[in-house]
Amino acid sequence: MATGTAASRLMELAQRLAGGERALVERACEAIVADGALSPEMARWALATTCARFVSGALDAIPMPRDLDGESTALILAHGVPTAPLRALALALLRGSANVTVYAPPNARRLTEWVCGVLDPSAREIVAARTPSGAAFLEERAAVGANPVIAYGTDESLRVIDAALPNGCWFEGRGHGLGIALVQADHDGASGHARALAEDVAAYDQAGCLSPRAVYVLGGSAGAVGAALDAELAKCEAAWPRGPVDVGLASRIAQWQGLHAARAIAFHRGRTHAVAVHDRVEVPDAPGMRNIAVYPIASLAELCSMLAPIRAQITTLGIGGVGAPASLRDALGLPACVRAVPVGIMQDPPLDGYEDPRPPLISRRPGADRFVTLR
Amino acid sequence: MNTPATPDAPRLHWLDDTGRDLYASLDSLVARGADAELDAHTRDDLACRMLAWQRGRCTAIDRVIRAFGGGRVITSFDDIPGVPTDVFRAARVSCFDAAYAERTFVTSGTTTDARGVHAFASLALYARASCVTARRWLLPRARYRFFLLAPPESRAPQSSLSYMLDRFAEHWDPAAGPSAWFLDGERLDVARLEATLRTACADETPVAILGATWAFVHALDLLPAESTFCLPPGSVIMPTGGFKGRSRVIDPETLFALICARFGTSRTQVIQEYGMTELTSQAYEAHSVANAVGRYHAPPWMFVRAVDPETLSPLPDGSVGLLRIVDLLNLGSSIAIQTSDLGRTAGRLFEVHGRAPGATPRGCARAIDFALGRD
Repeated sequence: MATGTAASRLMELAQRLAGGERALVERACEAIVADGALSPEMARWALATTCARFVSGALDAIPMPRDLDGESTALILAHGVPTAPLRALALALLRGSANVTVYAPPNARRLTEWVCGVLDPSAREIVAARTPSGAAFLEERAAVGANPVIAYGTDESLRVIDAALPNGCWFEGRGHGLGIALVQADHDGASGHARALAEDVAAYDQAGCLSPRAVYVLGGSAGAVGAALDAELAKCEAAWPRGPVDVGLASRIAQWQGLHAARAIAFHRGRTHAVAVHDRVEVPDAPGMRNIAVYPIASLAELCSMLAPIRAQITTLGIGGVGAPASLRDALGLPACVRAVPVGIMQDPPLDGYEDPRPPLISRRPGADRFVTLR
Repeated sequence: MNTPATPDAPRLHWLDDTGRDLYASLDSLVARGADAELDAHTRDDLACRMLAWQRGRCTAIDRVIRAFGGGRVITSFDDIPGVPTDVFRAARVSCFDAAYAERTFVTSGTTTDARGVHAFASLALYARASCVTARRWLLPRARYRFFLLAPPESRAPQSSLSYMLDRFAEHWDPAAGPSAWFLDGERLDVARLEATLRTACADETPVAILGATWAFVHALDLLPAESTFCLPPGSVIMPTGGFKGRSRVIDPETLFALICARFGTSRTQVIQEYGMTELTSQAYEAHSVANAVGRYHAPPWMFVRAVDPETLSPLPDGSVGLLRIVDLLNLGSSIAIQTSDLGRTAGRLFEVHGRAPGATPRGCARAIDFALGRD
């Protein structure tokens, strides 16, 4: 990586943050907390964990074509993990963008602005734009005239943005995904994995596509796993208090909790989390913010069949005591690009393995010859 | 099995002795009219007895109360957790065997969404109470000429709105019959509407134009631009519900201004209704109370509280939160409903500030703002 570039400055900033440089860490954490994204404790952990991946040579190791050489790139970020903009920005710069206009979501606005300001005070290469990311971009696209447009977000958002772009504009959309966990049913195993599972659920308050949205328990009742997970999530709250919840999300959580409580065989509702234990398998539907359902499965074939309609959305498979992660991924019919790891590290991927494993939604107008759908 | 309503012959065979006692209490409460006052002791006693009876007969309700109640002893209607509206989509919220259902109302929705289901073993109280409430807040005169902008009950037996409007028509415009309905499916009979309105404007009988909000938008769009009316004194207009993806979306007060301009009415003649499939009771905008534009008044058997979105604990008057409705007439389903509507209370009055952002759309096409706001 050439020195003096925005990408190299980003690497240096991340390393200083990971090294615990007090003033920088405080400013970054303040930004995350002020955005209402995470609690101070979780913000500190998220920053340290994310930045620790930016070790020397890590960015250079990512096989990244300089296919954006000299381009003016619009980078639209997702409302998810608030520290995710660091990597997304690094990738756009590594691909050779002459300048990047970053559209940040509300929960990462201040952090993104701060990072952009530190990396490029003159705002020649990087510009932090208004929030919410997608809506602000659509309002400003005529003035910005960016090409290409790289967007992270829900499939629905990506399609709206894609449809709004002018002829000739290259669009690259990275859709949303989700993680699932698969653990063994035996009681000792359940307790042993519960702590790791709880950390995966609590990390980043269950935002982003790497966090587990459901736990599947192989070969028996899900009750012991659910009870142990409830206890561990309650303990997690002490070290990693949950961040604030906006009214819309709070409403979704209330509806989700009611819907699951009405049908679950056991429902554990803590102050900042909920665990629903069911007696039959369903697709994941957790709203995030430490709400999760636990389902029993009789066999891998049963889970494989149930996951079929959402297979393309699964990004991460966390495994607890069932077998080798990679072989279980294959047994479930998930593609090799899905990250299969032991529970406890679902949300701690290496820098070069974090990108959405699904092929991006790509379109270039006019014509649809380069259009790749997500499903 | 959906059969025509027989409001004067209550079907009580589904009730045990306790249920009959409760029904008798509710029956006498409705008989006292929309201005009756329930003292706190009677209200709490009735509510708590009803909750206990429902918990013993409906697993879904019992599970939700256990999950949200936190083991507290419930001694006041204010302590009763609401069953979230989404539960009606996925579980049977009913205190009687399905074979006893006289009518089942279903929420509006798209083909891909699960729709909420509210079954009634007896519609007699529904019919009586809705007319009593309407007489107080919507239709105070003895006769109106009805214009109903909703599918007729015979075509939409699963629509609680169509059922209610049919009861109103029987009561206030019994001679009209099918000619009072101007919507066939989603097609508005504009020519007949215009011609009949012209005739009605030359008469002294006040007009009542009641129906779905989206149908009013269609009427405004499809009636010739130069076609304006001057409705007789005492006429009322009631748009209810959302746009449901069936029409363009208009800010409510803008819509009311367009309605007033087109039909020659004042804003106080446009009376909003607050009701939903999951409820038996309705509230109306209380124009006859000073400064009550935009404020609803609930009948004496319906209690509205704003609750904290996260804790779901009741908030004091004036604080904005999610609306929780205690509807004593929901004898056969759930006495308390947790909505995703934002609002606040002021004594017996309450305001509705729209759906919580990002809340589960109630059968509406997902708006761009929704898709992009939380990407």
